[in-house]
Amino acid sequence: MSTASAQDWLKGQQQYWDSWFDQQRKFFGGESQGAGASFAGPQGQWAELLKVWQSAVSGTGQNAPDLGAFQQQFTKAGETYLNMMQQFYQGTGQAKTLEQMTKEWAESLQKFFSGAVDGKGFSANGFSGFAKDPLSAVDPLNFFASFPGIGYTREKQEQLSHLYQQWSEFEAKFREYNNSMGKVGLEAVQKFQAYVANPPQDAAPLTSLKEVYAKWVDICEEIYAKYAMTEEYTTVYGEVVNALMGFKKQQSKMLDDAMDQLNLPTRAEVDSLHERLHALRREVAALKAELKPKAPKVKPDATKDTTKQGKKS
Amino acid sequence: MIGIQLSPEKIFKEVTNFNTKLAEGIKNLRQVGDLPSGVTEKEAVYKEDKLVLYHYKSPTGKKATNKTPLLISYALVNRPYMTDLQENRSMIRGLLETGQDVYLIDWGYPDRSDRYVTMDDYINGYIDRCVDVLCERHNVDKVNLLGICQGGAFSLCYTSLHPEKIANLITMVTPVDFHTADNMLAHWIQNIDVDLLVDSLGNVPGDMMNWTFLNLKPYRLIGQKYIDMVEILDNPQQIHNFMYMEKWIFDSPDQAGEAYRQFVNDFYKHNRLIKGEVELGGQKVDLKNITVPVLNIYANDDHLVPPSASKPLKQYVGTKDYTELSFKGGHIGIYVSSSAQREVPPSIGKWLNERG
Repeated sequence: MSTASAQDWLKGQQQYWDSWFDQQRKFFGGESQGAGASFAGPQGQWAELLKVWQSAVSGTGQNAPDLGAFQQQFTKAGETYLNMMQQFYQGTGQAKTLEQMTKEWAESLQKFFSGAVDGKGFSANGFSGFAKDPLSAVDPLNFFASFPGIGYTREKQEQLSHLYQQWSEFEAKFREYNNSMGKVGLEAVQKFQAYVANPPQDAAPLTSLKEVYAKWVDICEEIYAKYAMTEEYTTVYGEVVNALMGFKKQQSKMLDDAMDQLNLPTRAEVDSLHERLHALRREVAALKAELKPKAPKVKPDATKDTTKQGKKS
Repeated sequence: MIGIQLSPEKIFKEVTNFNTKLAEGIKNLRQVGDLPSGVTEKEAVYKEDKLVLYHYKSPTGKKATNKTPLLISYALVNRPYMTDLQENRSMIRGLLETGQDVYLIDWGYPDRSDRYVTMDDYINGYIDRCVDVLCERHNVDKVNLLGICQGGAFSLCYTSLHPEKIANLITMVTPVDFHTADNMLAHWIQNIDVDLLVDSLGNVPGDMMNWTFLNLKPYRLIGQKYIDMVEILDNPQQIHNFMYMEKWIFDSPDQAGEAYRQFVNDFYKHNRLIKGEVELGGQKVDLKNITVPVLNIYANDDHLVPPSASKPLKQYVGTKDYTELSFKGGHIGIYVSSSAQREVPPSIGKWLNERG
């Protein structure tokens, strides 16, 4: 295509998109915007709904560990499609080439996962400011927490220090986990780019955004599944869960101490009662079983032997 | 660039279709309303703590021709109405139609008071008492037992410890060898301090279990699934079916802490079932004690319990009457897919009826 005819084609496309955008805006009642401008539309609402849904899926139960931050890793999987639609949609409105649009989309993914790798993308809630701070080595709380408690409140100081140390441990392990998941994402981006640039000879071309997205998900799952079976992943996963449980255990202990001071029943006390109750129930069940007469079930076809055994008992 | 072939027209058409489906389909989503937990008429015949033992009635009025009642022991980690999800997706109905007298244990939703319920309590306590109830009701010595997933592992333990009370054993998508190379859950658990986890949380939240299962295929289950959902939003029946499944997936009871501790440590972490090292109520579980006929059903595409985890059962049980049935589908499809309705319950019924 010559430069002049290419210009004509682009101009024609631009007019077509402008007209199409106007129709879309009317259809969905959107505000007047130029072609290629941000256009949320129902898929924007869907992205919000998806987030709410996934938030519900992750669980926010009182007893559940805080998994909210973990979900960000994978919420992106759904958002990816919507963002991809948005980018391609806007890109065509701006008469970008397919290569450009694909490249920009891949770059946005790369940026996202790089954020996870360098620790800027995600963090657990709470004291994350310290954890991300390059000066965390001089974190004042950590500094004081390393001192032994002294004086009348010595035990409480120790408990509090221990709680903070547990949280710091979790933060550190959580960053390691996110880092490793970010690497999975980056590897997926690279593999996706390689696939697009040089697909296997027998592979059918991807002819819809849905197919592009499905390929992206396939590649992510493939790399994740492989990584999730490595010793490295098992270690990181185990460490982050153990660190969170350590924190929650200490948290419960301190809560119990507070309840005790208020002269209220503690979780440990209630647990102890439940444990004894179940032990008693087992004893009662065993005694009842011993006392229960073992009457035979006499069936029409029951053998003599069975009947005899029943009589013996 | 030859991997992607998209024209601007195609992109616009696709975005338009997506938006249209969303705009028009959201109302279908909002009209789904409350969904029942099981559809076949049933009667509670025994209750103990959170447990309810249900007896099902055939909607077609078909009488049970198999005189040995069939007891279904489902997993603790999800709700048992998966076996009776919808009128046309019900394993229970399929079994009733083969002439089985079907009972099911509903474990309920354990709360804090159940934290110290152990595997021994579940197997030698609850299951054993349910079996006794059935024997009493039907004036028989033995029942047929069908264990599903974790409930299958429990059924293996029960049959090993109480062989005199079981006529035939069916295990469905049941893990037996927990240390096969493709068992992701078993792999992940190796470095988790399960004792610390139970000591910290008491009962293990259902939400946490769900999150673990979602992470087996996170990109697909947390993202792509809901994008695909848009495709069916304009079809009220399909969205209805989708929501039935969605409800079931996230309707997850908490796990009684002590039972969870032993199950994960003994089965997932140390693979003690096949080593004969699981101990319940002071007795070792030896799979060689299982000499009754066994039907082992597994799903070829099961990502939760891979076939490699189920199939080894053959080499560990003592029975000479061992049958395997493989199903082309996944862990959930084996109960609800249309091919499952055609294949699985009729096969179970036939196998049971042949054995009296």
